[in-house]
Amino acid sequence: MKKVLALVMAIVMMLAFAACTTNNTPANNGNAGGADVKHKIGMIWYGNTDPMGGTFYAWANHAAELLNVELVWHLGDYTTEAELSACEQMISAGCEGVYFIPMDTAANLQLGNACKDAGVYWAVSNRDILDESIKEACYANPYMVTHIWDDSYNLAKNMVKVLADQGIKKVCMISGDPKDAMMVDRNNGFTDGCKEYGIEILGTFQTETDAKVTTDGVNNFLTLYPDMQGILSVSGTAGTAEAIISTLEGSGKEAGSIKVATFDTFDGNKEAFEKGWLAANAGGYTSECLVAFLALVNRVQGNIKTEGPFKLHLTPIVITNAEEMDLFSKYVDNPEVQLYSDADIKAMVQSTCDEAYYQSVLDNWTIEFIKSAANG
Amino acid sequence: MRDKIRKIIPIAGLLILIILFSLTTGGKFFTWQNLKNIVMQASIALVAAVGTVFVMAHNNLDFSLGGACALSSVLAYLISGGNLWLFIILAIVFGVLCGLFTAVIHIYGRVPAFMGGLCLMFAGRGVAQTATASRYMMIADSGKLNNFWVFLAVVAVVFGIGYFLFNYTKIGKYQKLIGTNPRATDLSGISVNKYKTIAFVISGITLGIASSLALSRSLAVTGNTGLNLETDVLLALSLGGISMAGGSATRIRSAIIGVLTYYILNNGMLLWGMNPDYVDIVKAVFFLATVSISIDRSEYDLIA
Repeated sequence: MKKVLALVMAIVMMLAFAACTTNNTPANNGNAGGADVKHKIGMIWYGNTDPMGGTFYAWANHAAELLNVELVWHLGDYTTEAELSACEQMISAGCEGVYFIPMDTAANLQLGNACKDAGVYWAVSNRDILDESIKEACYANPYMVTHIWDDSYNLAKNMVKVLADQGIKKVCMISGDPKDAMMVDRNNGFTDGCKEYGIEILGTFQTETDAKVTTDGVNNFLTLYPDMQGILSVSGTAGTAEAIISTLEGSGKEAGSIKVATFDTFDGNKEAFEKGWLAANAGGYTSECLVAFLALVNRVQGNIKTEGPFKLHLTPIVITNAEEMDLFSKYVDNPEVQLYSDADIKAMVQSTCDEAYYQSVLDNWTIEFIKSAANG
Repeated sequence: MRDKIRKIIPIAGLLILIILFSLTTGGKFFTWQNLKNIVMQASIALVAAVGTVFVMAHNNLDFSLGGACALSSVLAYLISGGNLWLFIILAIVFGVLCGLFTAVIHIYGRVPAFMGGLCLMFAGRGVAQTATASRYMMIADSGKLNNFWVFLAVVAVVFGIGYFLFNYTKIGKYQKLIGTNPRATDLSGISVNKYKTIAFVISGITLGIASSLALSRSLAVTGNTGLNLETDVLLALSLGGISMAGGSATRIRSAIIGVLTYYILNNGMLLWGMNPDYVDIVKAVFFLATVSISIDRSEYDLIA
C-alpha cells in the first residue's frame, strides 16, 4: 500500500512540476481583440431562485451568448471572505473580469485589490461605498469599471409618501443592517420620510432576511401595537415580504386595514395589491446589474478605455397598483423574458459608450419603459 | 482488508481530486496562484479544525465555532479599539473563554457539549449582529496579514504544535483514551474533566487564531463573521475520515486531508466552470461516497 501511495504522490508531484512551469495568468490570455475572442467573466451572485436573482441570471446568460462571452458563476456568497475566495478562484480560472454585488463595504477593497494584483477588471452594482477612504482607494484602482448604486433614500421617502397619501399615521418598521450602505439609505429614507409626512413609527425590528423571523416580528407588532396602520419594510427578499402579507392575512384583521410598503418584489404581490394589503412595492434593480455587467464586458473586450470607473446611480421603480405590478411581474421579474432586446444589449457594448450613455440607460428605467418594451 | 480500504479512502479521495483537476482544468489547477488561493482559503477552517480534533477525540462535538468566532471577534474589536495586534491577542483570549464556557456547561451542567456549543452559536451570532448593527468594525491594517506566507506560517505552526500535542503528549493521548472509554480512564486515575477542559481550551485558542485570519480576509468584523464555520469544519473532518466516536481511531491528519479535500473540490468545480445549479449536488454525492466508505461502522453494528 505504501508503494502505491508513493507512486501516486510521485505522479502528482510530476503533474505539479509540469503545471507550475506553464504560465497561465489571465494577463497572458489577451485582454484586447474585440468580440471574436471569447472572453471569460466571473459572476459572483447571491442566488438564482428569487425574482431578481433568477432574472439577472437569465439576462446575463442570454447577453453572454449574444456577445460571445463565457461566464463562470459562483452562487450563494454572503460574506466578504466568501466573495474574496470566489473572486480568487475566478482569477485562477482565467476570468478577465469579475462582477459582484459587494456584501459589505470592505468587499470592494478586498476583491478590488485581488483583481488589481491579477490585472483583472471588476464591476460592482447595487451598493454605495460607505467608507470614504475605501471609496477613494477603489476609484484609484485602474481596474474598477463601474460603481452603480441605488437612490434608495429618496425611493424610501416616496414609499412613505404613498402611505401618507392614504391617510396612514402610525406605522411599524422593519429596518436593515446599519453597516450595509444600501440599508442605511433605506432606513434613513423611511425615518426621514415619516418625520416629513407626520407619521409616527411605533416599533422597529431589524430584518434577518428570514421568513420565520419576519413572521414572528410582524406578530409582535400586531400584539404590541393594535393601532398600527402600516408596515414599512426595507427588504422583501428570501420570502420575507410573503411572510409579512401572510401574517397579516392570518391575523383576523380586515383585508387592507394595514398597509404595507416594502422594497423588493415578491410572489403574490399582485394579489396583495388587489386585497388592499400592499400599498407600495419597490423593485427593478436588475437593470443596474445588467448595465454593470455589460460595461465590464465592454471594457474586457477592449472597446472602451477610461481613466476611472463609471459612477452611476439608479432610481428603482415604486409600484402602487395591481395593474402595474402585473406588468412588472410579467416582464421584469420573469427569467423567461428578455426585457432588453438584442439590439439594446449590443448597443451597450460599443466603443462609443461612456458614463453619460450608461447613466441615460439607467435614467430610462421607468414603468413607461417597461410598458413600451413589453409592447415590442 | 476492509479496514485498510476504509483508512485509505480519505487520502485516496484527495489524491484523486488533485489528479482529476490537474488533468481536466487545462493546467489552471496547478498554477502557483491557484495553489496559493487554496491554501489561503482553507487556512481558516484548517486552523479551527486542528482544535476541533482534540474535542472530537474525547467523543464530543463543538457546534459553537461560527458563533464563538463572531463573538470573540466582536469583543476583541470593542476592547482593542481597532488595534490589530491587540485584537489578535484578545480574539485568542475570548476564544479560550468561549471554549471554557462550553466545557463548563458540559462538565458541570452534565449535558452533551454540542448543546452548550449550540447555545454559544446562537448567543454569539446574536451578540455579534446586535453589536455590529450600531457600528462598522473595520481594521484596515488587518489586510496586510492577508498574505500567502503569513497564512502558510500560521497553518504550519498551528498544525505542527497540534500534531505534537495530539500524538506525543498526555494532552492528546488522554483525549483518545477518554473517547475510547471514559469510565476506564477515570478509574485509572486520570482527571477526565481536566483533560476535556484542556481540549476545549485548545479549540478556543485555534478559534481565536482562525478569527484573526478571517478578519484579515474580510477587513471587518460583521454579524456574518465566521458564518457556517462549524459546518465547514465538521464536513471537512468527516471527509478527512475522522472517527465520529472519538477514541484511539482519531487522527489529526483528518483535519488537513479533509479541509484540503473540501476546498479543492470547491476550487476544481469552479475551474471547470460547472453550472452552479449542480455544484451542491456534486458536493453532496462526493461527500456521501467518501464518508459512506470511510466511516467506522463498528458502533452502528447493533442497529437493526
